[in-house]
Amino acid sequence: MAKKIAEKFKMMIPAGQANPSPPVGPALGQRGVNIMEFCKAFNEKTKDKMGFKIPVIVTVYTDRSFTFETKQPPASDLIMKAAGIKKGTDNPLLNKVGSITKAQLMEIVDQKIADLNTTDKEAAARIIAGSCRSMGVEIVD
Amino acid sequence: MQNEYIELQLLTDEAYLDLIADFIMQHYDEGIEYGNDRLIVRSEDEAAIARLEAALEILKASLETRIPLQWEKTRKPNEDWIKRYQASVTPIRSGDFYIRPSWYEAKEGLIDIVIDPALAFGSGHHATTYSCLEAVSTYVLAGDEVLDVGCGSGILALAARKRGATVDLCDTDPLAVESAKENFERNDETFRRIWEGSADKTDAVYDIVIANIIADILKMIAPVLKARTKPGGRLILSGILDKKEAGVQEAFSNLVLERRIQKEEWITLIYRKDSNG
Repeated sequence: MAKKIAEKFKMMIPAGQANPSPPVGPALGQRGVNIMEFCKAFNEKTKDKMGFKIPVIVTVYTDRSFTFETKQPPASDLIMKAAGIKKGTDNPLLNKVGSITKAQLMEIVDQKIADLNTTDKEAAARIIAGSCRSMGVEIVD
Repeated sequence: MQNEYIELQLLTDEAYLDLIADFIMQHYDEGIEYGNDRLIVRSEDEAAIARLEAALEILKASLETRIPLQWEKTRKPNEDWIKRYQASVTPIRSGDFYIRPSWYEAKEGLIDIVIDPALAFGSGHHATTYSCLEAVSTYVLAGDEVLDVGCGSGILALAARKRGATVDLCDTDPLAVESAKENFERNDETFRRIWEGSADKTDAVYDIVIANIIADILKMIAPVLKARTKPGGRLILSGILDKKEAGVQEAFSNLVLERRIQKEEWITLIYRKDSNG
């Protein structure tokens, strides 16, 4: 049929946990998207990625139908994979749970930089390093 | 449900949205929304927002002024979001049909079709679906064999079935095929056949072939659509933007144009194939 896009927007939602409360409810409800159908379909599609946060792009058409596309998990998941841990620390100041090398950090920057509208690797590295610190992952030489 | 929720609008450079979003997600368990130059965090959990703000202060300090990062916090009235959504979708009437979401009641004297706006296209609210329903209402008779090409939600085949036709459906999108099956079940109706793909996957011929797709595809598959139509049968073509109408008319010029329906910028054309084929 003649699909005409009314709006396209992006969210990041924990896999398998979309529900009609904030934040998902207001985001979808304000745009006239069938909240129940979205939650059902998103949770079904991401149920094998529980524990990860999933970027999702929702396209809403003029007749109120919608489609969505899920993306790969974000840099923090790449950090956890590089550090060989399943979870960040609950206290980044006291408990360090792992480490990655500067080279690994820059590898993550290289992977993520393709998604960004910047070539400033140093700035990107600062943010990812910030994520590492907050997860209790040290950066070593 | 709480009466209010907290909304945090974080403004930053567009280039760093993903990385900042990733940082937020390390300190916050719920979802976030992306704007063009901002991230929107919404939560009913005040403590969770306070923890996030503390983490953002630390990040802001470590970024110095290299990357802009600021945020505004507001309290917003919470709602029953499902109810609000449901109230925003209203039933429509086209021809003899009354298309309604499942949370509305049927209307006496009209042919009832239940479709909830969902993943597949075709809830009746789009101009092309609306016009096709009008055409189905006029041209489909009990006992007709009907093919719906590019069926989406299956709404047009469902309408034809409700008028007593035997219906086949196809769509190249597997999601649409599943959705159409569900909608037939929800309406207690049956189809004869449904398949993933286009009209070239069958040799059958039909009294009426419906194709609500887009102009370029209609032109491309014109020979197949004509071949699937019985001599004396009709083709209902839609999804045609007014500026593309001439091209479609040219591709179907060996058939008789019986009717043209325009709604907004969308055109629906009803053709009849000559009885001699």
